[in-house]
Amino acid sequence: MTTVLAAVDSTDAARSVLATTSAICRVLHTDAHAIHVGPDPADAATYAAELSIPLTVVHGDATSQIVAAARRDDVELLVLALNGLPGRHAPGHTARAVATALPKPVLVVPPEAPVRAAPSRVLMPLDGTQSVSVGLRPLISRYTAAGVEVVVLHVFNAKTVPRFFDGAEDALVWRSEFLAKHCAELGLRLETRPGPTVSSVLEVAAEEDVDVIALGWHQLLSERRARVVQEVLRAADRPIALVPVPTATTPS
Amino acid sequence: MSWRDYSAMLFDLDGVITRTAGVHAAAWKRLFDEFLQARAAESGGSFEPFDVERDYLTFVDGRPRYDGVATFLRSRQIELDRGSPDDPPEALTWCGLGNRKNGYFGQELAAQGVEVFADTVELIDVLRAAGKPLAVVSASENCAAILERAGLLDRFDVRVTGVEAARWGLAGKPSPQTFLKAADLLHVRPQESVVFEDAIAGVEAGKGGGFGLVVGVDRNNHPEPLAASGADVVLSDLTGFLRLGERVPGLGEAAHPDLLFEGILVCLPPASEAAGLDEPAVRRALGRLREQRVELVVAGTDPAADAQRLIDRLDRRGIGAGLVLVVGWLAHVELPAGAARTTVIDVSTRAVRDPSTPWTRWVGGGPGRLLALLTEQADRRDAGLVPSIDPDPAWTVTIEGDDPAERRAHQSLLTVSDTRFGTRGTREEEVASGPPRVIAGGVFDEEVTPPTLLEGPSWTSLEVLERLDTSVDRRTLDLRTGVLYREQPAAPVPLRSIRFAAVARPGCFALRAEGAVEWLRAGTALAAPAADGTFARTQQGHSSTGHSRTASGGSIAAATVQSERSASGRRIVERLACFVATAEGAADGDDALATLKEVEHRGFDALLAEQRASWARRWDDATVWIDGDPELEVSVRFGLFHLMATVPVEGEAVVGPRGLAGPTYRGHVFWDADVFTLPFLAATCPSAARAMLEYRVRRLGAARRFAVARGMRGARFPWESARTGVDVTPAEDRTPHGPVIPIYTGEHEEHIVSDVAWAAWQYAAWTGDWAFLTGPGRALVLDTARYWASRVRFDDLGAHIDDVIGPDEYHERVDDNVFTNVMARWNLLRAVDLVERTAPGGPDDVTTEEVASWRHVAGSLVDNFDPDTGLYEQYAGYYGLEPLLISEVAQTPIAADLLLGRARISASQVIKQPDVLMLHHLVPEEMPPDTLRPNLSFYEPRCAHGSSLSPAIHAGLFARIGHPEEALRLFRMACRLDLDNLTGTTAGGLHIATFGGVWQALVFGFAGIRPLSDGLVVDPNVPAAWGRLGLRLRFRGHRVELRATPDSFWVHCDGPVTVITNPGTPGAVAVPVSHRGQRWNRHERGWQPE
Repeated sequence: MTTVLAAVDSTDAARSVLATTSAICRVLHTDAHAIHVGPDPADAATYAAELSIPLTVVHGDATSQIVAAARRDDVELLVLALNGLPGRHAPGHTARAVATALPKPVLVVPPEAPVRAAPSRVLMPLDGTQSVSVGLRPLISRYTAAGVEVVVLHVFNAKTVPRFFDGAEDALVWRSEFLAKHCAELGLRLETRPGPTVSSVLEVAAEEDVDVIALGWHQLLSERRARVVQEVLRAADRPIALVPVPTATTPS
Repeated sequence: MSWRDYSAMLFDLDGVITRTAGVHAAAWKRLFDEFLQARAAESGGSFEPFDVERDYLTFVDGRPRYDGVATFLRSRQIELDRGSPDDPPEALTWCGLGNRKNGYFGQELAAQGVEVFADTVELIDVLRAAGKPLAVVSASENCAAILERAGLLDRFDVRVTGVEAARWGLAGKPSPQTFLKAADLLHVRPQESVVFEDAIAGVEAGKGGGFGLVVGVDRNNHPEPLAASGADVVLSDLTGFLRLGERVPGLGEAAHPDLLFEGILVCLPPASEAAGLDEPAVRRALGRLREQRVELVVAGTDPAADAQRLIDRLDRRGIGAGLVLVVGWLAHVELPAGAARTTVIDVSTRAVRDPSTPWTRWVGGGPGRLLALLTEQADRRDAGLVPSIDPDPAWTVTIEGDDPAERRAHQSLLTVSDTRFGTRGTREEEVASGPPRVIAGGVFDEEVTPPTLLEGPSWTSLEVLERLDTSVDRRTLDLRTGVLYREQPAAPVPLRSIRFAAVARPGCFALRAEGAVEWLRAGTALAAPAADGTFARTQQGHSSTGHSRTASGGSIAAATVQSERSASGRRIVERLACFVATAEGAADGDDALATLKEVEHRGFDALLAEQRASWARRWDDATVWIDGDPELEVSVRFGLFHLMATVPVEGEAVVGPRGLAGPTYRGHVFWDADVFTLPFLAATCPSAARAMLEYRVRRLGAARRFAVARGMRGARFPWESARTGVDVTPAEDRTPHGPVIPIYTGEHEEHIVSDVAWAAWQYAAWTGDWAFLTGPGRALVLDTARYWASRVRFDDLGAHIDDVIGPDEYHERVDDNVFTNVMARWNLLRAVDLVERTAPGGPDDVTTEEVASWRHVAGSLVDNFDPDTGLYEQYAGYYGLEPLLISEVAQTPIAADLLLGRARISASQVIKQPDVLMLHHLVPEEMPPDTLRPNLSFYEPRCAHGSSLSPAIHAGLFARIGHPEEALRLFRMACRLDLDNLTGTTAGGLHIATFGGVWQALVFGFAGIRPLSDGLVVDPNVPAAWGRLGLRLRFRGHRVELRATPDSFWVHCDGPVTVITNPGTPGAVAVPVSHRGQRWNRHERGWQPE
């Protein structure tokens, strides 16, 4: 049995993180566990108890404690809030630092995101690189095996759009080949949109009312990197799964 | 044996590793001349100096120093005491003189330095890299110093030199003791080791020591003494050692070839090596091979000429030089360059010189080996194993391994077609999935709307009971013969298969496979198609028949027969399949069975021979050579191969955009067929082009009704058509993004009308078949002109054609599209020409008034041409669009409509493909001189090349204006479109029309060839990078061959053809060319005949 680990603080965000964790565990048939770093775990403990999620309280640097706990072999997913307690760091600092350091999927819950009973649909944008599609493949398999619908999105920009397109019938072949190349699972639905990427991701997420947006990324959050991840984190109104993927390759 | 089979290598020093013999010789000469002069002075006798050529090699070279002194002095009948190694240099003893020589050697060495043999150093490095222990064995006491000075001291694991020999009391060469000691120190047995020696004494030492191989090193072009002394092989360049006995692709263990050769040249041994030759047995083996239809030649006095004749003879049968074996005693045989791809095996037991060619493999074995090789070839043929293909990279496309992401695209690439039926390159054990495996051109399932290609029964499945590792699979499409060959390593024997679609017998397929008895089974010969429809199968003994059909539309029937047998530890499965199809109604399975019986009677091997010969004849008229760019050359051939395999040569040809390799675009006929595919066939296989036109001729009725329905006259051919000739263009479709959008091409892309007329004219221009144009093809020109005459709208400015779509489909429903208007004008004028060639009236009811009206409409059609700029505005209002250049959007090629969206793209000047420029390509005579350059400069930056048809056309245009770099960039893109799956849609079939565009870029652009009524224009523009472009085609019934370089070209014809150069210039010249050929050279004023 694997575990979904929820990292919570003393804010109200803990409630939605724990609720989201609980919902995912029901769908994926995993255990739930929670960790609180620092003093004053009272509210978090209450919320966790309401959902029957065991809570561990630890002390020290939040990022390193959460990463250490999430590194355990049984943890397959870490859930935490995008914005925690106001402090000396910018909002979202801990979530970003953890996601950057942890070699596992991290589900980031925006503060305003409504809590969803059980995820039934996930959006997975694929940029046409093998690294992203290969990196996301385990998660796709995990969700589809659990009966969750996976909607694949490919956004056309100057680097990802097909080079040739003779006529409408090419679309059928191109779409089936894209799915064959980038998704091992059969029966996935492919949506395509012309760019820009971020707005297309958010639009499709809203249109399809997905419960999670899963983004493959290379765990680099410097100013010029992971622009899509940064902007989706900033704008999304639903949980975002950040999935580490190997070094990028050229679009195929 | 190969060098890899030996454990260690032992090298002599002087003459093998270093060239110190000259230094030694100089020191010896100084010593002996000094000694002999002094002795002559003392005795009053004559002085006969030391002869470096004779005395050194005979008495001194290779011997320990003191022995050398003694041997030489004895040759002059001079007796001295041996003395002691401690003797001073002044002492007149063997040792004293030897020590004096050593001093002189040091002085000479210091003066001359050490020269090393580069070939030996290269060999040593290879051997070291392979982990072979090495020793140097030399009589020289200076060995270490010499090696150190040469920088080679650390290359050897063991040294046995004069110093060690003295220390351990070892006798010098020709005694084997020093070599044996070195082998002992290396912990190897002599028979596992190789000795390299340049001296006779050294060779004798190696032989005497029982070493596995003694290589005589001949630095002086005197191999015979070394061979006579016992050298197993004599080499002048030691890198040749790495090739000795080396296995070549297709050669198995013990150098028994895995290849099944189709031609064998036997070089019998010289009398000196003929002992043991079992002549009756060899004759029997040769007799068996002859019965098996192997081309056999026993070399006469000129083996090179024999080899060339054999290669040429096989070439005419479609068999490449890679399936030729030259075997026997080849030491004195100089093979021609044309034999470079043959397998050359030297079985002589003693190679007394280097292999005659770099590709000769010396395997030794003598008469026994020759007989074994011949017998083995005959045995394998008797067993009926899978025949070989010539793996010539210039003629083959190979797919290695199995990439699931590209699997369906590879199936398209490896399709085998016979012009009527296509079978995708699906592996034999793959379960049915993906696109249809078997389709027939023009056979549709019409229960669905629009009609879709009907899938036929699949005939290529085999049962492979063991899961094979497809990552090591290797599938090769042989373009020369239309054969798909597969080889996959497996245990205990590889899986091999070969299949082909018999181009001489459309509908007939053959498959042979071999594999392990334990895991290969024939299984069910005919499998139901994966698609909907009804499928029925019956089994009668080894034969089975099957039907694919639908309630409405065509049907496909197939009959197969198969056999299984075991031989050579393998199971061999052979299957023949015959297909018949009808476009409407039920195909008759009895017809398939009857054909099958005939084919079965001929047998697999005869069918394969027929296939090879048939393709050889097709290539005779269509071959292309691109010297200096092998990748491009084979890419072009790949495209031409599929073009030829797609279009039947009789009846009617229904050629869909993806040919017979896939179902995309449902096999419908578009302008692709008329404008892109047909010209290649008109110029290489006129009957196939005629069959394509027959499709149009037979649908004139539908086209006329279509025109009437639209309130017009004449014939209005539909944008998409299938069996009936009515328009089957979908009215709407989904975009990649999901929304349903209207499809306007069926209603508005009307240039197809004049495209059909252009195709008919093009056919006549290449073939000279004007009887077609004045006969069955006449209406293709006249009724299309009639359509345009009724289609135009007149106003004060002239005649207009409103609401159309040109080739640039990014801009729909525009007015006065230049391509449409100019092609309509061209159509009208050709109709006038055609009527004037014959006479008004006749079955067309063409009146003089109507002809006059055509001339009037043609003269009135607006063409948006600005004489000041030389530019054509693509359509009325195009200049008012957003002046967006494609470079501001993305790199080309790019599907700009998907990127920018339909609304944005239609409001911008970005175009999908050549539109105005398509006129410069198709009807250059309609365009004012010097307008190509400004229009290319204007439209290329606006062209996204989002159509797969686009790059080839621009490539040809760039070639014509002398921009080779841009031309080559685009040409390469077009050539590699499917091979590199640049569209991402190759899985759905091959881009047949792009292949036609590639040929047109090559012929119209790079070769500058155009058919005119009074001759063939030739104006080559060959990129310097190519070196030479060669091609063959047919013009007015004659084969024409062009060989062009950047500065000259040569034309050869098998009958009289007029070649026109510098057309449209004052220097225009028409030269009659015949079978003797004619050469032109580039001069300042154009091409000048030589």
